[in-house]
Amino acid sequence: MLDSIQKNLSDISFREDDLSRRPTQAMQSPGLVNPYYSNLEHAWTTTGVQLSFAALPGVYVSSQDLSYSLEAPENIERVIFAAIERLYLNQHNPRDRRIAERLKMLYRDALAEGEKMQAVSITQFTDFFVKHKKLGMPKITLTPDGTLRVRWIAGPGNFTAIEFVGGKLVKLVAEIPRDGETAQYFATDLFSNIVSIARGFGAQLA
Amino acid sequence: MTDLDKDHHCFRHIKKSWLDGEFIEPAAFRLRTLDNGQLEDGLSINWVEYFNRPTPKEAVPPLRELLQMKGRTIGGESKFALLNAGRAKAAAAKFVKVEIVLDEEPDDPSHALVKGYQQFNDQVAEELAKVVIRSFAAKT
Repeated sequence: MLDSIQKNLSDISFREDDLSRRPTQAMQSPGLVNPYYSNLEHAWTTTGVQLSFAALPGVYVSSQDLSYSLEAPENIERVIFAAIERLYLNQHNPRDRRIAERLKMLYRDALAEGEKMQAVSITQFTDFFVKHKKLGMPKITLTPDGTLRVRWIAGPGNFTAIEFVGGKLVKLVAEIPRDGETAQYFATDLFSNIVSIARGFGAQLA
Repeated sequence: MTDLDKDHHCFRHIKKSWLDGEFIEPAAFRLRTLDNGQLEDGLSINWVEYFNRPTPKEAVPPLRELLQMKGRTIGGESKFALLNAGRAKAAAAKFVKVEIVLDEEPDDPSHALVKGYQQFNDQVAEELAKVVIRSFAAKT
């Protein structure tokens, strides 16, 4: 199973000319080898979380069994494929291509190390970067709980980290210099407002 | 369980997916959430002085071998983060008093735990990451 997944992942390729087309055309391009792309065409018109989940052929999940059903390796693989594609197609943003590459690498590493990845975290992470196009490239890691976490480090005692726990919430950790001291923040807050909240206390997301 | 001497050291195995370049994700020092929703009892670490080598770096190969004998996957690009027991306890004490105790296992006499920070999991993890002395490649 793992060998198969790793092979499929290594087969992902996005041709430059694919990226200049409308998403639905790109999905049908011979340059894209993911067998699930044909199902994405319908899903493309939907939003955020639905895009990834609707893209799973034959998989229907309710909110109650979401985390359980999507933890199967083959389902995570599909969510990863969808996430990478969304990032690659995000208006030719070089940052998002780097993020897509990083996500692909993390997925491979997680498979090799026997670590889990949470589908809801991958989707929320992708939604975040698709939405916030002007933020800088952060450090991107997996946590032992299988969630994705990003961190912008401006210097010693000066960073902002966001952990994508899925749903409407994210976790935030930050240290901000204040008049020779360091202010520390540990919070859980709404995904939709987290950037303005972080900027409100002086976080540099660059 | 015996407390580790404050002058002694411990290694925490840092998987590659918890690293971004030289950056060690502080969540690597967080207690994992178990299937029952509870946090694990303690953070697994290994007592460096058990290996009785002149330097921490020289303790890496026998530790790696021991962990692999236990069935652990030690990826080539993973690392071992070195911490001093006394400094780690002092760092965590900003939020809560933790214990660093030997927790010998039949197949791993160097096994130890950092215990007592369930209520401040994120906070203590951040502080422990700050006092990493250095990290060593798991495989050289």
